[in-house]
Amino acid sequence: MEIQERQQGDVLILEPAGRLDSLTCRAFETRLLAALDQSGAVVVDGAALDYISSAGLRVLLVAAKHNRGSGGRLALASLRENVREVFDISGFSAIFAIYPTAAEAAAALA
Amino acid sequence: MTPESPAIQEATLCLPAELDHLPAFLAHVRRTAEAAGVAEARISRLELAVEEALVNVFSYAYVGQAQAGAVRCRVAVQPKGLLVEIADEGPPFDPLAQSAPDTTLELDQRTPGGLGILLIKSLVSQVAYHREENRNVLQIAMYRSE
Repeated sequence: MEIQERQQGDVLILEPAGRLDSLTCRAFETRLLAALDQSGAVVVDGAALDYISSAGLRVLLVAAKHNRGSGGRLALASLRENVREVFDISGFSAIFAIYPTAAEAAAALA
Repeated sequence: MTPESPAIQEATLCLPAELDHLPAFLAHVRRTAEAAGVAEARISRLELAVEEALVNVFSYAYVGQAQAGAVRCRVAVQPKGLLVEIADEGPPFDPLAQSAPDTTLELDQRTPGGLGILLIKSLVSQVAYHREENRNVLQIAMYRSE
């Protein structure tokens, strides 16, 4: 999967494109955990994320827990309606900070 | 969920239970759903439910076997919508009988896993499991509208 990376101040923004599923979750997990270790404040921008399955949710949960231990901050932004629906069903909307835009998320973490 | 009602059209894909084949199975379901004129939002939900069901089969149905067994994915177009039937020849296992994760827990208490079945149950019109001869059969129905 293609994952764009950009910086806003001290916050690292990762923008995965396409499908976060059983086939792509490993690559995304590696990138996300590395980003958290590197930056401490990471936004996952969902603007180009078409699809997420439970394999993708698992990565986010692992990252959030990893983060807890290291005092890092993780937020999500710009989730599409179908991705948001999956978050709502799985209770992830309540355990993650989710913002309308990546810029707002980055500002909140800064 | 009425297997006895006449199917207008149906297509079956049978491949080894391996993750590499996931895109082929999903394309098979999507193709049939699009041809049947099901709305995109519903196809997307169905696709996710089918991925979750297949990944379960890939992960558990043939554990400990030298070679992965087969998965059969049959898609039938019916008047009300689509019926997707996923069958494996693993030991009897009813995924719907597994307890659902508590989605109200705080982050620290959440553990990975169990969300796939919850997603299937939440996203499609109906889902049912039965054992048929030596096969586990999961039937997933997505209606054109609720």
